[in-house]
Amino acid sequence: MIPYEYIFYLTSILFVIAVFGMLMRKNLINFVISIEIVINAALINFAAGSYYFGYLNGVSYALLILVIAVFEAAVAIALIIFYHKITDNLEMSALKEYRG
Amino acid sequence: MMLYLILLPMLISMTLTAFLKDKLVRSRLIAVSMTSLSLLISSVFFYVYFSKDLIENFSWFNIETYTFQISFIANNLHLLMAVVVSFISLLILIFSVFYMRREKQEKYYFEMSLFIFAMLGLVVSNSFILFYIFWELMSISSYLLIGFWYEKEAASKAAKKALILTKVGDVSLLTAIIILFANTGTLSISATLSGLSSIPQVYLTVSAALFIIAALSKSAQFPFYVWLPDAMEAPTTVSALLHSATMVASGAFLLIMIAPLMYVSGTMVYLVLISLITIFISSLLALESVDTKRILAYSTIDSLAFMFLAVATLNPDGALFYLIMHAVFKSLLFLLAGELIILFGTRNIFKLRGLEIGKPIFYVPAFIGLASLAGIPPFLGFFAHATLSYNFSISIELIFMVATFLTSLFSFRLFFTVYHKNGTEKIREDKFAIIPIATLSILSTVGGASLFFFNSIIPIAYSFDLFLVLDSIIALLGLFAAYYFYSNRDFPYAKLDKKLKSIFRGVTYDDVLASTGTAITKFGGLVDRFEDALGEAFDSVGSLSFSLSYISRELQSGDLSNYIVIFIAGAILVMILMLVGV
Repeated sequence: MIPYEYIFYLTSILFVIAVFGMLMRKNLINFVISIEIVINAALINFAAGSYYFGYLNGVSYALLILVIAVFEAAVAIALIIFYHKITDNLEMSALKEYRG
Repeated sequence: MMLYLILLPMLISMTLTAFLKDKLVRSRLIAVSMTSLSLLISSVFFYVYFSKDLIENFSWFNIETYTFQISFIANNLHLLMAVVVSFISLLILIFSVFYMRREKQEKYYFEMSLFIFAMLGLVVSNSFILFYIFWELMSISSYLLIGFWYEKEAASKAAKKALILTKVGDVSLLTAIIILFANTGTLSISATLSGLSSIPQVYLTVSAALFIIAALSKSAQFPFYVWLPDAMEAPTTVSALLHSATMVASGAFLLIMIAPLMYVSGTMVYLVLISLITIFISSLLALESVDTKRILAYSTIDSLAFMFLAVATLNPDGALFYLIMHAVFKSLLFLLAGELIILFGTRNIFKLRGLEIGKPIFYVPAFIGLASLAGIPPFLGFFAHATLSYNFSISIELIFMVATFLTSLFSFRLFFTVYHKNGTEKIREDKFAIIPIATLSILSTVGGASLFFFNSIIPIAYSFDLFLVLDSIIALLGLFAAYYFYSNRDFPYAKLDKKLKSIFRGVTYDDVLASTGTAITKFGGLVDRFEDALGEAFDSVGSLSFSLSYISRELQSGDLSNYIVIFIAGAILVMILMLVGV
């Protein structure tokens, strides 16, 4: 059986990679993927915690997060598609002009 | 007993007129009826609580164990003032129907209601903090009313001047209240006045001096008097109210109310000095002025200085009697000036002279009012002088005679310049103008007799002695001198006026400052600089917030990656703090 520290190492590494991606990638699709990775890192943490400590709470949180992540991705992708249709552009820096 | 009922009608009137925006007739009706209601209520209270000394407390809020109270007082002094204030206000509001008939702005009745509300609140409050609130409320409403025709630059400037100069007094009043509160631990006026012996002498002196500064600035005495003549830019009904029963009277009322504190403080000799300076400056300036309303404004400063002189010679009840009499005849004079402005369209006394105004309906009330002001025997002013001068020493009596002569001279200068023996004017009468003027004229003629039973309301001392005989002879002399100089149409009055001007040139404000030495000049400059500094302070607050916003708006760049960097940096900071264990 894998010691549970390893799972936490894995999720920490995933999280750092995702944050790195959010900071460095300028493409909106990559940005959304990075967010997904952050969320999934948290999700794995919950699931692993639930498995090792024998509570079902963690799994139910994980399921909740899963659903929310799906919705979030759907909305974000939809927005990006519309943005792309209007401006023909996927650069994040181009969003600057909207002063949001 | 429900003393707050005195305030209720004006509160209702304020609320209703504030919301009844475009219904001028209806708001006029509300204001007049509510003021008569408050006159009724205060008269009933005056009758019911006659010669009783009642205090009514409501707890307002607590700070730790100290309870702040809303406190009202009912005794003869306060309720009599409430009756006088609402009576004069009612007459002036009736006159407003005539005077403001062409005015389009609806806020007039709201602001007048606020003004009357503030004064009524001031005279019945027994808590220093409540007193201060109403005092400030009066500053604000007088600012609004003086600047009523704010499109005129002079009006808005005069309003600002009045606000800033009276603000000096407001601040010193608050300081005095705080000093007293720190020493006595109570905000109740009656408790403070009965517990004076527990306060150290130095605090008594300082707080009394601050109270005097507050009263001087509110009542437009030297060196603050400059705001009052400028405030003549207001509608004349406002001036009438401001000069008779409210605003300037509140300063004198403050000193009358806290007279016991004044007398243990040892500051009275300075008050005598200031009153005498004010009397001479104002009466000489009135002699020089050519504007009816400005002459009346200087005469108000003059009369208020009489009251202060009476307070300073340990005779506050005489000052109170003079204050009430003054409210009657000064509102009469202002209503007459307002009538002349509406009917003839000018305030310049020489232009009015050219119009040959001479119907008895104009000059009889004017004569009554001005004779009251001058102190000619059967009218109000004579009786007021009888009680005013009760405690005067010989030297003050002599100086006061000169002041009487000057007062009489400028009053009848106004009378003989404006009115003419056989007038030719054709004027339509208006009942809304006639009713208040007739009432006030009758009161000014016979009201002086009230001195003889005033004693049963408030103990008052008066004497008809040799001094008073001389005083009235001197007032009559002033009348004859004015008649000799100003009534003769062939007399080169303009030339005389120029001559007077050259004699009295030294008494215009700037020249007085120049001649009485650099100290006072510096003070005048200080007032100006204070005004400038205040303006600059406001400017700098504006520019500070502008530059702050210039910095902070850089944060909202709209760049998503910037936001993420800030967000993650913040998250890391929070984590570090949690690890460190803060």
